[in-house]
Amino acid sequence: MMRLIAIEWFKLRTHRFFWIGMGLFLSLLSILLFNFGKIGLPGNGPSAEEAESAGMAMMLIPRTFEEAGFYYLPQLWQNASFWAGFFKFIPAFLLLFFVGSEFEYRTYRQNIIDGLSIGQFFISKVFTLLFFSVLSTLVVGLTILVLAVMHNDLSELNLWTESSFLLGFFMETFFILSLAVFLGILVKRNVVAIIILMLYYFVLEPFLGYWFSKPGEALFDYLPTRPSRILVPEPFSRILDFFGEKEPPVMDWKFWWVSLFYSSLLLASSFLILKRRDL
Amino acid sequence: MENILELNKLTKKFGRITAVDELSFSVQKGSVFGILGPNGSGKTTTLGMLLGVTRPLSGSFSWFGGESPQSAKQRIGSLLETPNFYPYMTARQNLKLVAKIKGIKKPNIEEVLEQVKLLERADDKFKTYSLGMKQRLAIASALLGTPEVLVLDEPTNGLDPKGIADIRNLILEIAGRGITVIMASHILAEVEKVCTHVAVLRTGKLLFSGLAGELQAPQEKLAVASENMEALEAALKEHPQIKELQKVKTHLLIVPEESLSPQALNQWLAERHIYLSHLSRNESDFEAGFFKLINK
Repeated sequence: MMRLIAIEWFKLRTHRFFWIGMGLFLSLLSILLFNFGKIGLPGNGPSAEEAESAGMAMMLIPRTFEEAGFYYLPQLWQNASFWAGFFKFIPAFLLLFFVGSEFEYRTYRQNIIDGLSIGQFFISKVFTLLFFSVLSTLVVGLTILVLAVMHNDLSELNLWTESSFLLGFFMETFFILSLAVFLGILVKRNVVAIIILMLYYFVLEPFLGYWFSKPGEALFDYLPTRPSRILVPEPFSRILDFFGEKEPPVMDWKFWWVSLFYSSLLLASSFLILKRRDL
Repeated sequence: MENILELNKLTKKFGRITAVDELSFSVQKGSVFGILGPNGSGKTTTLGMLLGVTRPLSGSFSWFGGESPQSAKQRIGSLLETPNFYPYMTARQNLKLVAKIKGIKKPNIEEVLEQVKLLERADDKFKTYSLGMKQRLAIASALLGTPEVLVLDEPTNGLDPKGIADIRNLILEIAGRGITVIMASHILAEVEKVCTHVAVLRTGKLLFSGLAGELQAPQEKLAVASENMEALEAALKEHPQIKELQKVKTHLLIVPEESLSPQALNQWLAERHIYLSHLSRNESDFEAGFFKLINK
């Protein structure tokens, strides 16, 4: 086991793209989150009618996301995890590239000739997948902690309330990385696999979903990528709900497990493809 | 002698094409075993099956008297087709990785780099290498951890004449250390110069397996020339003991009956006032033997 991790880590740490990609993930994510508060609210805050009905609250009308409570606990967990979700494509493309290259340069074949079994090769890619997911989650988690300390009085609040949204982000990333591994192994060509991934994720599945059912209906929510996407719900309605009229959203653990199921299915299929294919 | 590898009716099909057809032979410890055959005769497919990258359709093989494929591979150094390395790593890093995969505790990286004369470029990235250097690195990688068996597929592919000679000497030197070498090639001269044993393949079938010396021309040929080639040809056509006659560039290639010695032929021609400027046995009996098998 340690041997496989050592092999995989050696492949990663000598790869410039790994450092560039992870650096990009860290810097883009923190730039976005640290500056998000300065962004003005859509329509510059609540409308005049809303303000009027609020009466005294007029004085407190927020103008920016920060004023609207973007950095306040507990909703910071949801806000940050939601935006971090857009950056999951960085580790996904990185992993896809990393797996696809093994086929493109025929180093997979060489690894097998040199003495790895197909199972060992596959397991070492799953390690990388886990490593990328955990690393991304840690980066997001640390960013949240820093923001939480900067903007909240922790003596009065429980830091960990709603932190399950971060686990939602973890699963969202884990799923997209599993899809990346699957496509990398299936297609064996990086660029083609990336195009297929994007087309499926942003065009084909939403189209199928709308074609066959409407959001919130059973089929739509159970298409492969869908559960992972709704783990961390969009935070706007909550942020714009100045007067706390709606129930705050929670992470739906049912979809967390469904995502894990789909991820396992993708990984199991990847292994079967490797097993059945000549090198 | 102990057999290091045995094949038993090994078969592989790609669609309707039978790439390897019930192949059986064995390789003795310490031999230099050449697998010889034209392009597409199944050499690489055979080695691919032996190294676990191609799944056999039927039949079996065993390394070291039936050791598991995983542990057997740690005793084998191999070069299959093209050299496959990580382009973003240096040569040294690539060798380090191979050593990790093979589970070699103290890899002899400097030694193998020295053997293939790549020490000076060892810290350059693999993608900057020329084809010849890539091939040499692949051989270095095969030599890591001093394997008991070396499997080489077309080891001189893409090398210049100097490189080919270097690799040939390296193989002879390795064989001299008692390492068993199994090499596939379509280059006859290469096999003839280094191999002790050969197996000849055509369209996946085994045509011959045995000592290299046994694969010889079944009939001797003589090359002759004189100043007056027309007279020579006319005279030879009348000679009762010459079975075949063929014009080859500057000389004539003849197949005499066994009872006719070169001396007797020379004398016979001299009596007819034809004096030879050239008389030799045909250079490659090995080549003739090979083509006789292949064209059967």
